[in-house]
Amino acid sequence: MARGVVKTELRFVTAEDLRSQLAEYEARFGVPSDRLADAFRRDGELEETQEFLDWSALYSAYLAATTSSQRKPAPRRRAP
Amino acid sequence: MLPRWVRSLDDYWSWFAEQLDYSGGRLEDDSVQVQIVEDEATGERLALILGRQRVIFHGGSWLEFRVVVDRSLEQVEYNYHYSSAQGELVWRMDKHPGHGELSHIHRADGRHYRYPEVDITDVLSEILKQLE
Repeated sequence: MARGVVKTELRFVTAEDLRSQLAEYEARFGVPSDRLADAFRRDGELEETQEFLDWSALYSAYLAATTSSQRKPAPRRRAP
Repeated sequence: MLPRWVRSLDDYWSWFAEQLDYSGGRLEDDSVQVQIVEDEATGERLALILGRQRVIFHGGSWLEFRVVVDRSLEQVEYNYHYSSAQGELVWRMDKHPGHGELSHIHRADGRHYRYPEVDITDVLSEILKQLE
C-alpha cells in the first residue's frame, strides 16, 4: 500500500445495534452473552472458532460502550 | 505504546491506519473498516471496532486483525492472526476472556500460551522480523 493513502471507512452504530446483534447469537446458541464461552467448550477446552471470536468482540464492544456511559458520575443530591 | 497525540478514539483510528500505511503490506479491502459506537443522544464516541480485515504482505503471508477499543483508549479485546501464504497459522495474538489469561498467543503447535499485551505496532514489528 502506498504510504499516506490508506483510507478509512466509517460506520456509526449504537449500543442498541450491538445489543440486537448479540440477541441473535444468544438465540442461536442458547446462552446469554456473559456466558458465551460455555457454548464453545468441548471437554473443558475452549474452541476458538471464528463465531466465538466474532461474538466475543461484539460483546466486549457492547460492554465498553455501556460501561462508559455508566461511568459518568451520578448527579450529586443535596442533603436534606 | 500510544504516541502522545492520540487522545481520542478518532485519533486512535487515525494512528492505527497510519501504522498499516507504513507496514509495507496492502489491505485486502480498499480501506480500514472502522465501526464507531456512538451515544445516539449526545453523539459521544463510546468505543471502536477496527476490522476484522486482512493486510497482505510481500510473499503472500497475511495478518487478519480486529481490535475493540474503549473510551479510555484501552484495547479491551483483540485478535491479530498471522498466517502463511498457504493459510497455515503462524501465530495469533489474542486478548479475550475464556482462557485463564486474557492476553495469550496461539502457536502453530495448536497450543496457546500466556503472552504480554500487544498493539498493532508490536504486531507489525514481529511480522517484519519474520519477513526479514
